[in-house]
Amino acid sequence: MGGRNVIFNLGGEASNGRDYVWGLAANLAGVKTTDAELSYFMKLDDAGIARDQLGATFKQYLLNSVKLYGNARFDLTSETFSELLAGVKYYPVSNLVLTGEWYQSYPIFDNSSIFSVFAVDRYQEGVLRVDYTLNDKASVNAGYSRQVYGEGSDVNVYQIGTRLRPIEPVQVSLNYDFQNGNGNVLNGGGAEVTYEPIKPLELAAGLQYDVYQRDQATGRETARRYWLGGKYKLNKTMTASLRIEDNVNHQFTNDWSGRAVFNYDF
Amino acid sequence: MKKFVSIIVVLSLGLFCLQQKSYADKKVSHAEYKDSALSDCNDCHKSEGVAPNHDADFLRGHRVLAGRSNKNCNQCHEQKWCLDCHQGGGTGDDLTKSNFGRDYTPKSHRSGFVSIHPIKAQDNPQNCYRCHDAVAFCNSCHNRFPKGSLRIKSHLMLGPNAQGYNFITGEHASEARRNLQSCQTCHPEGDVCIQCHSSGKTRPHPRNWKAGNIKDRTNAKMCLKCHLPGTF
Repeated sequence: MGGRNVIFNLGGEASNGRDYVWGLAANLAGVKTTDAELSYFMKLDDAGIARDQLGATFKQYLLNSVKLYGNARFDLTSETFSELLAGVKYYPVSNLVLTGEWYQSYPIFDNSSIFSVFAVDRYQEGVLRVDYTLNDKASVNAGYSRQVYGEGSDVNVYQIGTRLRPIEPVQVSLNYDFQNGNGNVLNGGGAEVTYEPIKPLELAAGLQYDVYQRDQATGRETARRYWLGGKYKLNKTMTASLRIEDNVNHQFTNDWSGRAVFNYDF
Repeated sequence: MKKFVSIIVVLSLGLFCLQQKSYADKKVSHAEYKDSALSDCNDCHKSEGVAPNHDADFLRGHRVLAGRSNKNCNQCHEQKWCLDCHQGGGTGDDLTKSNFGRDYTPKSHRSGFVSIHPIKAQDNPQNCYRCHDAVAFCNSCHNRFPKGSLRIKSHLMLGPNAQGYNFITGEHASEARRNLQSCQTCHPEGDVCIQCHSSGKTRPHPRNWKAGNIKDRTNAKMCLKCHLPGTF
């Protein structure tokens, strides 16, 4: 692939005659349990070569219940991996998936940017996660992430969630997460309900609630969002929907907004 | 570097050999299963040894699936289905799509994201920039604030009349190393950085700085922003 790198800003086209990109990739095809790809990408601009990168992806299925996968992007200018992901999924039965992932990133800038010469910290993240579908009516998930920054300001994130379908026309989704570290605390989640009382009508409602502390000076603050919506299918080509929302947070005691949509399929 | 290139060459040869060995073993087309229930998909996947997907973790993990060159997303989804989230903001790509429910934003964007984004924006620095342009998107709000009001530690005002910055202290260094893209949001040309970090003052480069690589690729234009000709 390749071509001119066209960039627009508010005043019109901002690219110049030397903005080009090109790349090439080769991937493995025809092997059922393996995916692999190698790629190269170059971006050119006024200063010369702005980006010069290699990429690789890999996936391998093993023993009918294990998936290994990886993804890498190597920056040839700084000679470092700008992104690296390695993961494993274990699925002993079809309704249970255990996931472990390790990811790291190192910010890369165009060589023509002054920011490309500065030292930056490497970001790393480890993820452990379980997704389990009990039956047609319920599924649950739980996860833990540890975010590691270069200078000791690590963050822990815990999350749990569930999807319930107590009766056919009703679906409930609940999720909660707790994030703590780097002087911040974020504690909250959301609940959503969808209900189809009759065939052409769908109703939905939701609540999101967060208690958070940006740093010790700010103290704890609360943010909430409530929304309610509905869609009615008039016939095969026409639907109408309505949605209203209220935000309550440190900026607004109430901030109502809404939208009404009429769709006609030509 | 030579070692890395050697590894790439060996891997490429390995790929070529594998491809020659079992090219006949084609992957299954999913087009005829596009209307199946996800539980049916998972049962079939499991029996074939393929990992179940499209689960509650799909939003986080679909980047890796969709990034593969031999991806088969288009056997069930048209491109407009992707664009409905990635570009359109959830207006619904057809009449069967709901646009009355939760807005099409990641779950991390909940509760009026303006409130909690100062915390979430400090997570994985790459995440924001996968969808948003650092300079155009962030700065469209941030440039409306008076300097020093953003609660960035290094930008808090000091002194009896709050007329000075404290960025000389160590805070700005650790903040910049942690998320340099956020600096670029308000200082796209980095002029404020060069005031102190230009030649001979405070070295900004990483320890394993590959000066030759950037010099070759930009015909030394970048080096001349701070260094005098012949001094680097």
